Amino acid sequence: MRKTLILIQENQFSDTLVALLEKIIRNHYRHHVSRERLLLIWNRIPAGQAFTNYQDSRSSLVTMECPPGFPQNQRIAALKAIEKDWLKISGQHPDELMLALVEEALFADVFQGTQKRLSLRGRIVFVAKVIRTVIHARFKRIPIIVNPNL
Amino acid sequence: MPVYNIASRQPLSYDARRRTADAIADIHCGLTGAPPEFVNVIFMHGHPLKGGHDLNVICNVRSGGNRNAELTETLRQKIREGIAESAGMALDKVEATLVGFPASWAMEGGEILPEPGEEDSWLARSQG
Repeated sequence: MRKTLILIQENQFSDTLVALLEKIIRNHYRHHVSRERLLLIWNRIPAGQAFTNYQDSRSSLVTMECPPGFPQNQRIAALKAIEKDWLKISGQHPDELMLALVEEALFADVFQGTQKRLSLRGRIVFVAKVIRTVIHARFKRIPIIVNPNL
Repeated sequence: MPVYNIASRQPLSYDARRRTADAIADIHCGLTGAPPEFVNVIFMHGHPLKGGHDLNVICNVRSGGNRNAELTETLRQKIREGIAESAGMALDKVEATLVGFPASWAMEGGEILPEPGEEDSWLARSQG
């Protein structure tokens, strides 16, 4: 299973819009990158906790995992396709969207880095919160949206 | 990119977060020559950190181009010092890790990111 980490700002997108954006990513990922299962985790950053260019942030950051040696021309095609549809739906300026498609080893560094810095108790709290959120999302058939504060 | 992902045990005040984000942008852009438009700083709190640290930052930055190991380590140290000062923490309570991304793996502003040191032509093209 491949993974995607997404950071968005609070009060920026409704849950319905997030579901639409998730559908876009899944469709383009399947078409351009891989047909493997894709786990998407949305981090919704509370207001006042993100800054871009010396201001409160309005940016969305999408980091997706891909197989090693993924061809650059396919990467560009995937990123452009997702960007086009994301901006059309979100109404964001292109400067407010960062997309990355990174090979699995580097993705693991990013994905695991946030857990490795935690104490044992912190990791237990973190994992428990993610599992609770995943179960809730699966049960409700909604995107997995996490508040990153523990 | 860059994306500075900060976790702290206790929440910082909005003013402290703002001051810290500004310091990071100043240091990052001053040292690397990167434009501030895409410097992202994200704060999260309530994280029990290991090693007795009160704050930990993971910095996802572009690698390659004009960025050698010396510049990267200088950036890491300066970021650590800048955060400690702006957040009012002791230096030994702040940890910083840099993760290098190939620029060509990411897109921002509708364009694949430039190699470090080649931002001017990239900015002119994306704004042209």
